[in-house]
Amino acid sequence: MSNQQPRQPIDPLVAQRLQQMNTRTGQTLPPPRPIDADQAAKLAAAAQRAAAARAAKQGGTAVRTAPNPGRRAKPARASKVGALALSVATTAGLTAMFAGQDTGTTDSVVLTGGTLATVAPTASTAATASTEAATTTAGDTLTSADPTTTVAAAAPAAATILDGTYVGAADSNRWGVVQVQAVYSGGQLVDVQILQYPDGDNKSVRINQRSLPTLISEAIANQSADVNTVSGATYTSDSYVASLQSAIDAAKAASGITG
Amino acid sequence: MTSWWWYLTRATGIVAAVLAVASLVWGLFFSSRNTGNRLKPNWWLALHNYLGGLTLAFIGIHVVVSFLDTDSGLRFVDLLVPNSTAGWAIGWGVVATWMFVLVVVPSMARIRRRLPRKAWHAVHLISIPAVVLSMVHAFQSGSDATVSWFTRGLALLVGLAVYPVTIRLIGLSQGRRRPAAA
Repeated sequence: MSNQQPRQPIDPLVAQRLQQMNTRTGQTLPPPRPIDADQAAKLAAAAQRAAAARAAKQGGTAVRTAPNPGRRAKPARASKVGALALSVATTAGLTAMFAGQDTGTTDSVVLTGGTLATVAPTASTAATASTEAATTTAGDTLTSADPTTTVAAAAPAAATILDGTYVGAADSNRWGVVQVQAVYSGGQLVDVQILQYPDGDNKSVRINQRSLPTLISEAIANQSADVNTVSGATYTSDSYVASLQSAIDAAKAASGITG
Repeated sequence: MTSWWWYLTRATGIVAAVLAVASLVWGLFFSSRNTGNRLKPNWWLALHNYLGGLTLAFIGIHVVVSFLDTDSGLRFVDLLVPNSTAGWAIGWGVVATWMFVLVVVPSMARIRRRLPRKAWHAVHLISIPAVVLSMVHAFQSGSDATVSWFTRGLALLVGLAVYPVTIRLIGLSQGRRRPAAA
């Protein structure tokens, strides 16, 4: 025992506990294993952190302590960089994909001759032929806000609307412009053709492709612009009604019908 | 160019939704102590915090870009006030955005230090309804809501979020019972 090294200081908290236990049990326990310098430094840092935490909890001024040496200064750094890179790459990829989708589907969503649905319940062959001719000439390029009228040569009896195609006023809403033309044959509304509709993005195209056929068939069934608003297409429905009503008014005016 | 704004709006919205769910899942696994032994808890916490911040950043981009997209017709007030004129489909997104702000900002170290833990935790739980509302917003106003890959992806995200929420709720109920028995 003579060559025993001088003991290094142990943690004061441990020494205090040891003394208390010795006093309580009445026997002397062997002193704890001596700690090396590295462990002593860790203990000191831990004690400092604990003191700072106690001070902060009691409302005192927290003391900035040295970080835990076993703890990384910037944890999950690689994962963070990965998450950011993945997010940016996904955004770029999705944007490119949406652009590609729009380019790829442009042809399929353009309306042929401006007509979404051709519903002609009572039209004769001649009337249908003239309708198609009028549609072809009308195309998608009519942007005038003033209603214009194309009247066919055949004139039926008085008090009925003359056969022909009557272009309604272009009605703007927050998503774009809706313009329709009404086709009359035998005094009946036989078709409503869409000259313009909001088609700036896929969302509008999808909404209008779903709603406009319903609005067209309802107008033909009712023989008027008195149609129900299609759920999810309120703006389109309102603009459709406004444009169709102006077309019907133009048809009546051209036919000499008042009221 | 306006179309590109529209594409970017959709892309950032989708990425923000994925990040929100990822952050929620990370946080729930961390708080329910289901982090395993391979990675240290501070790794989970650091990544959870980062994903939360990244979510808010992408939501910010999503909002700004949708405003820049003139075709969307959204006014400045529509982006700040729910259901002002743009309807609830957009309004749910606005509500969810404010909720995410409420969750992320008080969790910043400087602010969190000054908050009582219980108050911070109560505010932090808003993240769950925020994620739910963002999903509703995506389903109701998303241009791709009718596309199968989008709906399947959102369903997958909801499934991913439900699992840790369930684990957390079970853990909370067990934790409440245990002290009473002790």
